[in-house]
Amino acid sequence: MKHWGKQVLGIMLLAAVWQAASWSGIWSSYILPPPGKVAGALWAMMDSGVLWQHIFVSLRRVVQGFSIAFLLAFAGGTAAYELPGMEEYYKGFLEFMRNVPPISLIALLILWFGIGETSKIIIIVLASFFPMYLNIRKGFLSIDKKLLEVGRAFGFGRWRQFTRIVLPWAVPDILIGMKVGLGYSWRAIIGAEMIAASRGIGYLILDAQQMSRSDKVVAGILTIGAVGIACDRLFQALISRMAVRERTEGAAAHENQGFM
Amino acid sequence: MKIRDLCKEYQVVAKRVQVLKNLNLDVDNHGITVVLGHSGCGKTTLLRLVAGLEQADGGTVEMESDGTLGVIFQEPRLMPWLTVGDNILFGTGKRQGRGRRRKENRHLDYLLELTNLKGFEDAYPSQLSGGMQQRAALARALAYEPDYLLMDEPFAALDYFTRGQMQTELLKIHQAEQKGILFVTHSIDEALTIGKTVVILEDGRCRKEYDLGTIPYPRDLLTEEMGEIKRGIVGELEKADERSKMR
Repeated sequence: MKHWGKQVLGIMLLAAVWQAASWSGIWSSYILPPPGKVAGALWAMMDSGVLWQHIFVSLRRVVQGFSIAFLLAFAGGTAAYELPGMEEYYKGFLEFMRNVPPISLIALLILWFGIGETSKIIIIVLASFFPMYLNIRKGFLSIDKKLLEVGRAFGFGRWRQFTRIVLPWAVPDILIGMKVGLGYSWRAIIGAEMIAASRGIGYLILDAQQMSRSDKVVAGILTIGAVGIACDRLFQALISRMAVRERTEGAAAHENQGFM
Repeated sequence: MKIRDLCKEYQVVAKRVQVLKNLNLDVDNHGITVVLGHSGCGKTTLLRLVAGLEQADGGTVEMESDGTLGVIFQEPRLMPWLTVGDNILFGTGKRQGRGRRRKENRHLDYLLELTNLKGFEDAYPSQLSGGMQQRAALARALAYEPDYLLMDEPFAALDYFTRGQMQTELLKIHQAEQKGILFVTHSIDEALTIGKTVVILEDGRCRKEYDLGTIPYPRDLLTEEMGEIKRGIVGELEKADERSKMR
């Protein structure tokens, strides 16, 4: 409760400075739209339903791209664990792709897949694949060999070793990867929508810019932040509900490193 | 269980080290066979070969029935994400279930009773003491209903008092279950407390065997008879130590 109070106070202080700056008249209301005007624009868009439509479109893209990226990352992580020798072949390529910002590929993607949904979903897949792949891989490879021996002593085959020991062991890392990946997808889709789209929050901002409606631009930015936080909180709640109940201190510790 | 001509070599850097050299050993089907020796004499290797965790370079391990084995390691090695009940059932492929979905499992109840873990079935391993964790590991091995238990210095990491308690409990469990136990340790007192047969392992071979089958449990290590046996074992181990320095 105390923390909430401080957070709200901080935001209110920021809003007050913003309001004071726009009252001072140093900047025109086009350069710095006053809070009231932004709130008005936000309310108007919510009221007409336009904002919800854009949010829905962006989120739908995120859900699609994120799901594909998760499946690929899970398959990749499993391959890294089950076929450790193979990793050398694709390691270099992955390392290369990890250093290429997905947005830089948009020109090629539009050329190959057109301006439709496909190129945007590919952007999300590229943006969220790596945090998920790296965390899932780390989760699998960090398995305690001593626990695997317990399975072997019980005569477990490869499948049971994986599903009953390796997978549950890696759950905290997998969830961390998903959380980071979700944040990355949300940021990436906004970028993609600002380059080529006819709907979505990114498009909303770009459109507002072209109409010289800076109040709508700020409203769009506020929406991005709010939806991002909401997604993160929702996922965090899901994590704490389903898994990590009373794990060892060890599991909790390796969870924290995941954010780096 | 008959172990015949068991051989195992390891490559340590550029050197070949022969850990087991044609080891022969009979393990009682219903008694506790204790393998005693210095660290590095090959006790753990022997156990790992019997358990099938490593491949022998030669020799055989024969068991009368189909020979299922329950292994208890030096550390409890419980799955941190499973409750005590689910950890105990781990090898059986069953789950205990929670709350209203809990399944009646007489065998689990019996094992919890036997290992003094009643009331802790929903706890997680990190919430238990070292002794309790090791008891859960013991229950997990028993739940698998093995013909033999293989125990690799299972109480070595525990403090003196817990260790004594665990030995008493093991004897109680052994009385109830009557399984053949192959128990590896470096503690002479432990060997004398629980062993029906005590085997001294030296340089990859069984050097000497003591039959304590005539001395009933629970044993008092301070009697003259036990003192005599202990002196013999200490002398034997000291000689082994001398010889290993000569090599």
